[in-house]
Amino acid sequence: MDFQFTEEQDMLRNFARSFMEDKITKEHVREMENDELGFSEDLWKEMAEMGWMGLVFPEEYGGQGMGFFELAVLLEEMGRACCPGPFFSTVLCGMSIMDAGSEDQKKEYLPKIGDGSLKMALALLEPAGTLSPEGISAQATAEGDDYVLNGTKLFVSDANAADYLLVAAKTGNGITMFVADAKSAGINTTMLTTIASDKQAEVVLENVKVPKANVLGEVDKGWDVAQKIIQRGAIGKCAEIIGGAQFVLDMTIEYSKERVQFGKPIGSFQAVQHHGANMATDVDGSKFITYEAAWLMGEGEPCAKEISMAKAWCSDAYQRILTTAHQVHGAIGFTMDHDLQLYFRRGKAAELAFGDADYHREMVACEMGV
Amino acid sequence: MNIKFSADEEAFRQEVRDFIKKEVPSDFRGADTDCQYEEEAREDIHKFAGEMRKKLAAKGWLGMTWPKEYGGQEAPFMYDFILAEELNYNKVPGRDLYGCSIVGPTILRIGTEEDKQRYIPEITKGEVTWSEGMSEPEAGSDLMSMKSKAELKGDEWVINGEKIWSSGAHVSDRYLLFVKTDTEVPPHKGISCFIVNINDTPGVTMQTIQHMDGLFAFNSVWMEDMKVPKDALFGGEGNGFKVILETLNFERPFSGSVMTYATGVLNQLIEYCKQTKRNGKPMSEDQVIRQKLADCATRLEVGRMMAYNVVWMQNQGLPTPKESNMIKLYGIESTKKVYDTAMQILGPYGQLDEESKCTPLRGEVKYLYMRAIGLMSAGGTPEIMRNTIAGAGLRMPRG
Repeated sequence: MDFQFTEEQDMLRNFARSFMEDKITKEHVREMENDELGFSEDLWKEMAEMGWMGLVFPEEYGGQGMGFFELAVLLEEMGRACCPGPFFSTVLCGMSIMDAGSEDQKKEYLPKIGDGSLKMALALLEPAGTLSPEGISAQATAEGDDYVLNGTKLFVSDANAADYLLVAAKTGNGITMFVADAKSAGINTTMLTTIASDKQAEVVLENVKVPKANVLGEVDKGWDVAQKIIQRGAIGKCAEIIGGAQFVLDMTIEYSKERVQFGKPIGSFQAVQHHGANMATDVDGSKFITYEAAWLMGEGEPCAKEISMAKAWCSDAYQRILTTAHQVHGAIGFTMDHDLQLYFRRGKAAELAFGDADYHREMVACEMGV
Repeated sequence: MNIKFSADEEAFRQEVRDFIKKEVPSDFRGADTDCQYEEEAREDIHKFAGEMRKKLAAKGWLGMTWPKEYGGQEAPFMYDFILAEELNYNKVPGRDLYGCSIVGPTILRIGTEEDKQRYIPEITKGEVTWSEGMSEPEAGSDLMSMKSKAELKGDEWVINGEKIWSSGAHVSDRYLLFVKTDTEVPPHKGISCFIVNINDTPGVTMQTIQHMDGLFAFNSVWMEDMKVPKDALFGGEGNGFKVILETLNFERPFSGSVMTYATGVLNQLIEYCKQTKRNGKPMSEDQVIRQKLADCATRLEVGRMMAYNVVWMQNQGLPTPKESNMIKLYGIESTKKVYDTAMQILGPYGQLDEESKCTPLRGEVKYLYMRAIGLMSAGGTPEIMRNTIAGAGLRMPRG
């Protein structure tokens, strides 16, 4: 047991933090909420030059060869900064290519993701909204050298920016994953407007042709790929959550020291102090369960239970942290001018993404053999 | 970052498990090792705990992190924690929490060479158990307002006053007692600490207090012209507050291991839910019950990681003003939550006593559910913990 970050991890964190403090300012975050694309292509290029897109890819595919835990450290910093853009979507899809893709697919996509020239989005959920194979009704039918895809995908994050979509669809005896060119004929994308002002979309697939060579992994065995995406996605969201949660805690404690009522800083009142203590305890608990799961994931150890425990816990804990932060801030905290709302709105989106607490508690129960 | 035990640590855990399997009779009912009220209140368990203590000592596992010259093994802190985890999980009494986790480390940290020679080897040999005299009827969370006092008369200290909630004092050999030696100075300068043989000193009257769960583990202790030798003073005159802080600093992380006891109980409850049918199907298939069981397990896993972090930090010599109070707060509250939830899951069966007909899990959940109420106050209430986290941990302004 060693809770010390390595020098490499510390460097990555420090570097990411100073980059984002400098470039991903709250003004930028607000600006991007109203921007059609939702992120800055210039900053995207800078991030790619720093090697972030290819952080976890092997060096032979132009990556940095780091592990999943390092990615979690980076995502933690992105959560802290409310960093906008299709980073997580792209890397998550890229990781699926990394472990399920053919050699040709890896050579084709990974270097491009790594150098920032290719973005991806995950088209998994559908109107049913459930994270199970039964929730997928999009159909893929083999026709010559292609598959023809029909169906509706929903809550597709970053579909507006993606060059390729990773689509889950039904085939003869199961689910298959497809890497579909986002510019293919028959793809119709409609942006949704969301609580977090992020870029989620409905993607309607109407007779979309995808070459058979673009099947990721084996036909009918795509749910294994999807499950790993859900797991990585869940931990990635936890990492974003703990980054945001620490920032919200710090901001709340600072405010409680400055805000004076009854002639004293409100942070000197026990009622407010206990709010602070509760938030801090939730922040620490969320951090360590996330680090545990992310580390196990990075080491390739079995971690399905720990991942679900982390997402169940962080989803709920962040809601407690955010509501308490609002309580301490009083009326000023819920205004659009205040930064707290940026975290509050993203907190709900993070809770819902890749399975909420109820979903993951059920997963925990299954993993425990209940 | 490495969230894994080393091969040596794993081997040690296995050694402890083998020891338990060998030394604990398979029909032993288990005892609440996390706070040891049962050991203090039930004669049969007290006797068994004494035997186990000797066996643990023979293995060299009592005070195993301590210097070799006092009978320790200079093992890293994690070993002691692993030992506590395994004993807690398997409900095996014998490792005296006060001696091994609270008083021993305090003596080693601030005691004189003579103190160490005198008090540490007898702990590692399993010859003594400890208890504490802190709270008074009018001084609970406001400990500094204690009224008991000691006066130096010739070669002896003469102590008068009253202590309460001294858990296990009636069966312990050593008593860590806090009283005022100077009432003219601010309390944090006027309190001193004494080490006394509370059951073997004239002038002491003791009465056990019955917990609502039926056990007699707490005591009221009245001291009337109790005379103790000069060298019973520990930590120096007027340094009692410092000693208190040290004991709490060491005690709190071990609240992390109480969750291991709750994990053992939870796993038994899960088995029970799998094997017991309600309304024609196993309880474990009920969605509500599944959510509750998963939530309990998640809570305990979160706490396990927080506890390991505190143990790691202390082993690194890092200060833990926030973390050790947090783990105490979190450990006790989540333990209580698990027992509350377990009672809900058991439904009407939860209310049955150990000796009643139809009782599931030998009535332990009912007992723990009541006992947890007391745990919430032991060693600092959640409110005091939150004050400390806010003040010492988050540096929020003083009220």
